[in-house]
Amino acid sequence: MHELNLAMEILEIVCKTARQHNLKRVTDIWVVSGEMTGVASEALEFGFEIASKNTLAAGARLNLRRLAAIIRCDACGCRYPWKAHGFKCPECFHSGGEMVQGKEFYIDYIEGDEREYQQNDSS
Amino acid sequence: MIRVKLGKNVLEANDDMAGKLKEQYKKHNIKVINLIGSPGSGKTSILERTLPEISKKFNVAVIEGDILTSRDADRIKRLNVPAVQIQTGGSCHLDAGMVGRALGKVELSRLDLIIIENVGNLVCPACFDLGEDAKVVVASVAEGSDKPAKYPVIFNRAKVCILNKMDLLPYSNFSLDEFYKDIKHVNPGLRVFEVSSLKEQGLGGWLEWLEGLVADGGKEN
Repeated sequence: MHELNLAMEILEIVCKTARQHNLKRVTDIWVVSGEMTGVASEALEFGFEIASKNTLAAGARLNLRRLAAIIRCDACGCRYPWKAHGFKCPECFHSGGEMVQGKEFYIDYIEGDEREYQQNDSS
Repeated sequence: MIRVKLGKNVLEANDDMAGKLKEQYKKHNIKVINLIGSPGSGKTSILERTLPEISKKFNVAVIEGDILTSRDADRIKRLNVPAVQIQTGGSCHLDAGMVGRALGKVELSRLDLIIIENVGNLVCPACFDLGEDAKVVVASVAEGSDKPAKYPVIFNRAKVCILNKMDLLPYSNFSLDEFYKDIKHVNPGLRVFEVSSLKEQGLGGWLEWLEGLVADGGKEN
């Protein structure tokens, strides 16, 4: 249920960035979300659609790229997917490691159309 | 069409605020716990058992998060422990900004420990850093043993799990084997304390852990 809050955070960052780069509208937003963030993509997209109305980002596609949670084994250093193995290394069977991927949640990049400057546009 | 690269953390505003809270806690040498669990798991009841004991050694305040009512803060104040109620008015979690405003209502200079009881919810509070030293997740036998598997994010990020309502074990189909197996999958380092706050059982280990955390750098009386 916090996806609307997250959508609003995304919107604020996106609109600020768009203004800084003179975009007249944003068409695509690429967000990276790790498996261990618990972000629900459909709720996020829906929240964003609602929140972005009447903004530079209205109608923009919110593309969510998932990153699998990856554990690095404390003993042998190999990397393996958390989902399949938990924290038990499939190579050396050591229990314990560090989650080196899967907690990310960031806006990777945005795409949009540049503002067209009019001759009498002083801004 | 132009592309602008950002690489910007979505939760940056909250994380920046949490960083400022952390500085405040550090300045006053205060340890902070973020207590997270489902509605009805027994978070407030555990506090009612914990506070009389921990207050013997340390100065404690509680920040209570709920969508509505100040019932939880009222329960804490009855124990003569200062409590601030945050009413989120609908939001399903506390964020660092809300906690920052609540800190204005407690006397930081005399405190050793702040316990933040988050809004009853196993999902959303996990994402929002409040600058705490440890997240403590409260699960209960009545909820079933599948919670670590279904809500891995909070069980992964917590340092401690209190498994409450152990007195109900004989009357439920809760499987301790399944519970511990799933915890091992999601966070093998998680400390688990099996307690019954109603029957006042098993709280010793939890209290010892909490006292250890506060004594580590705290200003013991």
